[in-house]
Amino acid sequence: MESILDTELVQRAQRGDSPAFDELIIRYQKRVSSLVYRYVEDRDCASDLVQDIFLKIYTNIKRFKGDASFSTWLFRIAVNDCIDYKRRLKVRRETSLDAITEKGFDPRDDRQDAQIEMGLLTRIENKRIRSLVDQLDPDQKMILVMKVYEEMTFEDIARVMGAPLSTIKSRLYKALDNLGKDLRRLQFIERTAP
Amino acid sequence: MKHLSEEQLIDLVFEETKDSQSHRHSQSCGECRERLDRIALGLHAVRSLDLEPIPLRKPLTVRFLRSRRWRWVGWAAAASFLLLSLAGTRFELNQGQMSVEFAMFGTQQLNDDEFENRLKGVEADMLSAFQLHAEMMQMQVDDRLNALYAEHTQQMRELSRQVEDDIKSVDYQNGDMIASMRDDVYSYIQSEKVRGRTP
Ligand SMILES: [Zn+2]
Repeated sequence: MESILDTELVQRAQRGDSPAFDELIIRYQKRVSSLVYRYVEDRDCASDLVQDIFLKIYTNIKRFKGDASFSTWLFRIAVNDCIDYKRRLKVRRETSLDAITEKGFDPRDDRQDAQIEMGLLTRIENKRIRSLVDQLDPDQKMILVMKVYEEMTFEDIARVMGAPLSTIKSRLYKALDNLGKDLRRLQFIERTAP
Repeated sequence: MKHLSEEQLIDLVFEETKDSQSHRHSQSCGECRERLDRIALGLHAVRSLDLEPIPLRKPLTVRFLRSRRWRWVGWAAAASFLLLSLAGTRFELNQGQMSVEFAMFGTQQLNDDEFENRLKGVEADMLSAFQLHAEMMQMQVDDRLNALYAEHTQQMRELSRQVEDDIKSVDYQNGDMIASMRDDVYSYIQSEKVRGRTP
């Protein structure tokens, strides 16, 4: 099975050959799970999402026309699912006041448990960096995850996102620029805190 | 030269450009240097995040799942039987054979408090055994759920219902077992006390 091309497996799966579909899952399960987990950063959500994504692949595989490669098509479904999930979550969170304290934005907390050395970022807590990353626009965060953690090429990311290369780079720039600005703000607060 | 574009800066920060001109510009132009530093700081922060390892289990195919399913049911039955017989054996020792029973509880005279403590110890052992059992079952359940991607939704619902029932029945069993053991041990203590002996 390992030597068979995706296209052949897809054709077989489209004809209802379940071992072929299983093989496709095996090929991509790890990468998709990794991407989703890095993006949502929650085991249970990631596991639900991955399940949902493969069910979508399963129910839609007959509609896959082969305009893009199978992996691009699959990752596009995964990425859209993740971004949708994040958007829904964001709407829910923004309506909840509790979330503000939950995310640890209380400045007193900031002063309490982060020790920041002059000009150095290293001591800003993971938790805080993660929450900054989490506040990024869902598209921006997805590009960041694909590039930094999944080490995908810009070309692949552009194909999956269905956007031009320049747009991808520009969004990534904005994501990193926002993070950089926020981190400097945090460093400033830390330094000037009594 | 005009300032670097966002694209050029991204290429620089990911070291994906051989364009020495933009590199030189980023060194000599304060504004571009500042923009580059800022995104480099952002990138450094993201890269420094130590995330927990990704919870991946080995992929299972649908057919493999089917064969595992039966093995799993068999395994659970065997495990329950083992525990039941373990508990039963211990229990029989308590009821029937004095010498072994004494070895288990110690031969010295114990007052009520001490005895109560010993009893609690036995109970705690049992509870941790059941806990371990439950955890092992949970691992099996996780493996199975993980492999359900390719199954139809209906089939998935049926399977998870079945798993839940399995877990529930074992839970009930465990609960009953603990309760009856406790009762039996207590009645044994009482009967020994009536006979004027301290176990
Ligand atoms: Zn410049």
